[in-house]
Amino acid sequence: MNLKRLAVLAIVAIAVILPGFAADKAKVTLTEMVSQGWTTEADEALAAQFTKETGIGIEWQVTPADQHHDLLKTKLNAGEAPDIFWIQSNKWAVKTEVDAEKNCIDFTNESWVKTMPPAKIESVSYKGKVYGQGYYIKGVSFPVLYNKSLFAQYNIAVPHSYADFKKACEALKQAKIVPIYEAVPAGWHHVLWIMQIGGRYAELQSGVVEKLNTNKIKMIDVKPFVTAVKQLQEVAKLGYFGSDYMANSIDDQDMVMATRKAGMTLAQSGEINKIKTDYPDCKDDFGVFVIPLVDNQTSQSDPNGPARFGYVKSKYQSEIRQYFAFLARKENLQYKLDNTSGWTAIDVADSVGIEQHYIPAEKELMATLPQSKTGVIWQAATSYTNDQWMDIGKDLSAMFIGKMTPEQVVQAIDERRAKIAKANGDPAWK
Amino acid sequence: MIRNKLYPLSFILPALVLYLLLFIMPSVLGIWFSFTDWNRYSPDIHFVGFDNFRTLFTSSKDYSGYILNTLLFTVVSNVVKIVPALFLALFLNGAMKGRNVYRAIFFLPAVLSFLVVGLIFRSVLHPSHGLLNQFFMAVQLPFLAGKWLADPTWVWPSIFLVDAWKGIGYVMTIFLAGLQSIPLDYYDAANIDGAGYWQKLRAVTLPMLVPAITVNVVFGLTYGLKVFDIIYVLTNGGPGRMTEVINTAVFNEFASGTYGLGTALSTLLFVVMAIVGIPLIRYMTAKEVEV
Repeated sequence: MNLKRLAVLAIVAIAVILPGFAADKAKVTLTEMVSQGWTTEADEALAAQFTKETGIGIEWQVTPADQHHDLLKTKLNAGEAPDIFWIQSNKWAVKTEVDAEKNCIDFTNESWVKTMPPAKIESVSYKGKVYGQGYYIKGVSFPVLYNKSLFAQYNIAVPHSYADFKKACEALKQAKIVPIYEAVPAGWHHVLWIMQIGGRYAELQSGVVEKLNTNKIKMIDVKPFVTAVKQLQEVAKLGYFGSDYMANSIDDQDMVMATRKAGMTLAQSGEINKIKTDYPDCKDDFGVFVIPLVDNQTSQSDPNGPARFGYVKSKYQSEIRQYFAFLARKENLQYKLDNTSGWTAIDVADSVGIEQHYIPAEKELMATLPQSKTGVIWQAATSYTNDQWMDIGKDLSAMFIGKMTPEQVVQAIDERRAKIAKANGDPAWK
Repeated sequence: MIRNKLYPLSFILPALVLYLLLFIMPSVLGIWFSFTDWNRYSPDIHFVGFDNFRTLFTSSKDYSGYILNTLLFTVVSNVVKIVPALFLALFLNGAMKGRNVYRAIFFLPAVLSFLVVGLIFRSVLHPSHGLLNQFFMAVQLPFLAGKWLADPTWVWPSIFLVDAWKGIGYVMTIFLAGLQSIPLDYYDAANIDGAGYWQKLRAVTLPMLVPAITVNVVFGLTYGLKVFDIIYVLTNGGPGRMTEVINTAVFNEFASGTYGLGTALSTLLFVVMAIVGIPLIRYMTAKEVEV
C-alpha cells in the first residue's frame, strides 16, 4: 500500500515538476536596452524569430537618445544593467563607457566573431578580448543628404567648399525653405557636423591624431577643428538651420525632407530609400555630399557604430551567447540589411558573402571623391571623445544660444578628456 | 505612575538601528566620499581634501550656475504653486455645486508620473506642431506663439508653469485640509465684529493656516532643492546648460563614473538645504497658532 502511494506520489511529482522545468526554460526573457533609433523593425523581427526558434524571449528597453548614455552608465554603476545593452562603440568606449573587463561577457572564442571586419572587431574589443557584436552601415558616414530636385529648381550647385555650402544655404533660405533640418533636442545629431570630418582635420594638420592621443597637444591646438566649430556656429547664426532647430524632433527628419520643408539634413545615405518608401507621394530625387565644413572633401569611414554587449552578471549568459550566434548567421545579417530601409550596405567581413545594395547616390558620391582622400571620423580617431558626445551636444547647444563661445566649447572638450583620461589612469595625462 | 505606562527606551532600538544603517551611515559615507577621488575606472580610493569642491567652483562647467538655478527654481516654483493653490483652496472650500469634482480635477495631475507629464508637455510646447502654438495660430494670435522649451527667455517660465500645473492640486489639498480644521466660531465672531472678507482672511484664515503653509513651504523647499525629474524630462538641462540644476549635474557625474565629484555636489546640496531650511522651519513653526 505504502509502495503504491509512493509510486503515485512520484508520478504526480514528475508530472508536476517536469513541465515546470520546461515552463521555466520557456520563460527565460532577455532584456535588451537600446537607444531610440539604433534598432529597426528588422531587429525586432529577428528577435521574434529567435524566440520562435528557441523559446527565449527578448524584451526591448528603448531609451530616449539623449538619456541612453547616462541611464546605461548609471545602471552599470549600480550593478543592475539589463542582460544585453548597446553603446556607440569604439576601442576606447569599450573601457570608458562600459568597463568591459568588469561588466561584459567575453565573446573572444565565439565563432561568429569572424563575421565582423577587423576594424569593427577592434572597436568592440579591449586588451585583445572581444566583448561586443556590432553590424552597422558601410559607406561614407553621415554625409549631407540633399534634395536634388530642389537644388535643380533653384540652380544650386552641389557644394565642394564651405563658401559654396553657404551659397547653397542662402539660396534655399531666400526661397523660404529651411536650408538644413537640424534637431538639437536629440542631443547627438548636431554633434555629427564637427565629428564626422576627422580625416579633414588630420589632412590639414598632420600628426594631429597621434599627438592628441598622447596628450602632446589639446583639441584647442587643432586649428581646423576650432574653425569647424566656429563655422557651425555661423551656419546656425545665419539662420541656415531654420528657426526651430532648438526644438525640432529628429523623428521628423524624413518627413521634412520628403515634403520640401527642408533642403538638406545630415543622414546616412540609405535614408534616401527610407524617404522614398515611407513617403510614396514624394517624387523628388535625393543625393549626398560630404560635410563641407573646413572645405572638407575627404571620405570618412566609421569603424564604430552601435554595438551589443552582454552583461557579465546576467543569469542567462548561455542564452545571450545563443542569441548573439543567431544574429550573426549569414541569412540573418542579410535579412537585417534587406529589411532596414535606411541601409544600403552592412559592414561585415567579406567572407560572409553578403549581397550589398549600394544606391546610385552613394556610387555618385564615391565617384566624385578622390579615393586617396579617406579618413576616420574624429570620435574613432581620438581618445576620450566619443565618451562625452552628449556633453559636447549640450555645449554646442549653449553655443547656439550665445552662452558659450566656440573656443569655450573646445576647451570644455579638453577638460573632459583630461578628466576621463586621469580617471582611467592614462599615463599620458599624469 | 505615567512613567510605568511608557514603553521602555529599548523598544526604539530596532528603528534606531535601521535609521542609522540605512539613512545616517550612507549620508555620512557620502560626505566622506566627497573628499575622495572615488571613480568608476579605478579600484583605489584616495583622500583628496577639498579638490572636488575646488573643481565645483573653478571648473569651466558652471556648477555655481547650477546651484543658482536650483535656488531660483525653489523660490519661483513655490511662489507660483502656493499662492494660486491657496486661493483655489479658499474658492473650493466654499459652498458650491460639484466642488468635489473640481477638487478631483485639480488634484489629478499630481498623480501623473513626471515622465508622462514631460512627454505630454514636450509635445504640447513644440514650436511648429505643438498644441499651444497651434491654438494661438487658430485664434489668429500668432504673435503669442513661442519656442517655449527651446528659447532661453521662455524656458524657465515654461518649466515653472508645467511644474505648477502638476503640483498645484497637491498643495491645494493640504490647504483644504487646513481650512477645514479652522473652527467656524472664529468666523462667527468676526462676522459679529463686522469683519469683511479680506479682514477675515488676514486676521483669521491666514494665521490659522500657518501649519498648512509651513507644511507646504517645507515640502516645496525640499522638493525645489532636490528637483530633478521635471527638468530632466522637459529640457534635460537645456537649451545649452541653461536649466541644469544640482541634481541633474549629480546624475551626470554619477553617469560619467566620477563619484567623488558627484558626492561633493550632493554634499553641497545638503549644506544648502540645511542653511536655507533649518532657519525657515524654525521661523515658521514659531508663528504657528495653537487651536
